[in-house]
Amino acid sequence: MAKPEKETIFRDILKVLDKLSEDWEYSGEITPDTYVLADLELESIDMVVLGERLEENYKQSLPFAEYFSELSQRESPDIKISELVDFIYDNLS
Amino acid sequence: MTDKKNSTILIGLDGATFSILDPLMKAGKMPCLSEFASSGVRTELASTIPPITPPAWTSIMTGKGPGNHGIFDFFRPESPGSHFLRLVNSKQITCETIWSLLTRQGFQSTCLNFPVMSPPIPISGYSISGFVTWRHLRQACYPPDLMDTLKRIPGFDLKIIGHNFSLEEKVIVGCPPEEAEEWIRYHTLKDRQWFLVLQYLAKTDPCHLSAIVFDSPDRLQHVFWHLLDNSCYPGHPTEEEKKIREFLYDHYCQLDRMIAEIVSTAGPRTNIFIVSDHGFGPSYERLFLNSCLENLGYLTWSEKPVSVEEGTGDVSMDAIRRHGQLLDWSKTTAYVDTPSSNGVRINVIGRNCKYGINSSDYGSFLEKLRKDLEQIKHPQTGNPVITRTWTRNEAFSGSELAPDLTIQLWDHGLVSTLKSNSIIKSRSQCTGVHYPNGIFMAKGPGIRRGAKVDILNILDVAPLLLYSLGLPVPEDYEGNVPVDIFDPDVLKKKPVKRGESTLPVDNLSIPSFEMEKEERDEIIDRLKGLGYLD
Repeated sequence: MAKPEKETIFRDILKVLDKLSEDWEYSGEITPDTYVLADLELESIDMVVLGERLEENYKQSLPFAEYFSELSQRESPDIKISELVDFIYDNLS
Repeated sequence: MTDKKNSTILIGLDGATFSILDPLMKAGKMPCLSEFASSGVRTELASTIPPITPPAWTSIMTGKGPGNHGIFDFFRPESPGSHFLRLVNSKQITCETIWSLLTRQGFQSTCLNFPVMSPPIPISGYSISGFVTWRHLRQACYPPDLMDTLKRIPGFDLKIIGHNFSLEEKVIVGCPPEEAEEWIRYHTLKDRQWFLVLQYLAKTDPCHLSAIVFDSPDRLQHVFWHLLDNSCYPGHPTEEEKKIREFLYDHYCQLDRMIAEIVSTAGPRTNIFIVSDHGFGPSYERLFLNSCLENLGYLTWSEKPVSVEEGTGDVSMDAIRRHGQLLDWSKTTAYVDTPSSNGVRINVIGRNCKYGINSSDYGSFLEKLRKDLEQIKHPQTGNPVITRTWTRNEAFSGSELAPDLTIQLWDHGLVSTLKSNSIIKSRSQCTGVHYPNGIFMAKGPGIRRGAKVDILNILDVAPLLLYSLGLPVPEDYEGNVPVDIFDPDVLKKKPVKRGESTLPVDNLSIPSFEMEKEERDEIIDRLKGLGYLD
């Protein structure tokens, strides 16, 4: 399978978020600048689940634990959707 | 369709221990449990090594020890040899669960709030995993549309039944007295939600095996052991402490009432087993094992700025996430990576590690490490702080996913992974920690009344459930049917049989049990009849 473009990864994230969010509501538009924790009102544990679902989507393991560990070193562990896109793009084989 | 009349129920009380339950039963606060114990069998149940929730419940679900089922802790390395941690999930269970086995035999199960059951494994029956937040519980349910059905149950509250990681962190960091009432009530309500689901499924589509875990005893005992255990209770309690104790008693009363309703709904022809995954007891101090390893020359801390909680050495989920940054891996050969399993890991070059010892030195290094750890003495008492050690060969059939060395502390506590200037620190107050022996109680047709039997092993639970359902015990199960709990006549009529081994997970061919439209309509009609649906 060819490595997807960033635009495709962004759409994949939206699809996964849409499936995950059946029981919780997010009415705003999700853009590359949307913050996962602050704007979508998710908790850090939800990011872990999001990561697992994205791995299932791409049928490959991605170093999310290392990524989240690095995020926890930052002043704010929140990330923009575009950062998530970059992380997936950089690590997909 | 297999006859469901002779069904079996398993009630799990996470962390329940007789040292707390007995005084409550004696004081009349748990009358159902008291009657259950006197009219059936009760004894202790030896847990797994280590005695912690994910491996222990997985042993109950698989009939195998951690070395053969693959779950050793709440966390696992991201990849073999990685220093970054992930929460375990059902994909790491390396053998067949009892729910899958029963499905193959044409039996239906309900499995509620067992940890490590997400993503859900397709079974005949119903499964909702524990340790899943409300936002993602839908994806942890089987069948996939179960959540839509649950949402129609009067009183069902998704936000309460889901695991709340922020609230549950109080188990690790403690609960301020002013928040105690709300936190205790939250657990009562949460147990009630799981109870509601169990009763709903029992009425609408009863299964051959119904199993539920109530996790509140573990949570409350961790935080409020000093108020629950009579031997730790303050001689002159404050008004606040007295009040919190009453809230705790009220919780156990309500838990007892839920058990009473489950027993009553099940009726006298049902075998009911009540078990806990491990015991509980007091701990007054905490050992900083990574600091011990530093003193012994095995470990070097990172110079990167890593925020470390000061004080008691408890660590939060975020701190566990930061673990990968905590050590200088190029100068570390042995370390503890989680505060939840007392497992020491060794860096071995080539085992996906750039640094560490050479694999040819592994055996001698392990023995030296073991001896060094066993010689650590308590600074005040001079007694050894590590009372037992197990290599992965001794405890886990050599599984390469297991820690290299697992230790047991003098007070059965769990070590801290954080840096400390002294290897042992007093806790701010006595706290509850996991002891190796939990509880076992049984009642039902053919089960002896008031019999005293020797301690059982957690590996005996799965064989017992299969025997109770009239099924043979797979040859590769590690435990045995505890025949002493049954009347001899019953055993004569229905001898224990060993059967074919379980299937490897890769070979599991689970048939689809999606309901046909007619069957679905029939259930909806039944729900309407019972008043669950308009």
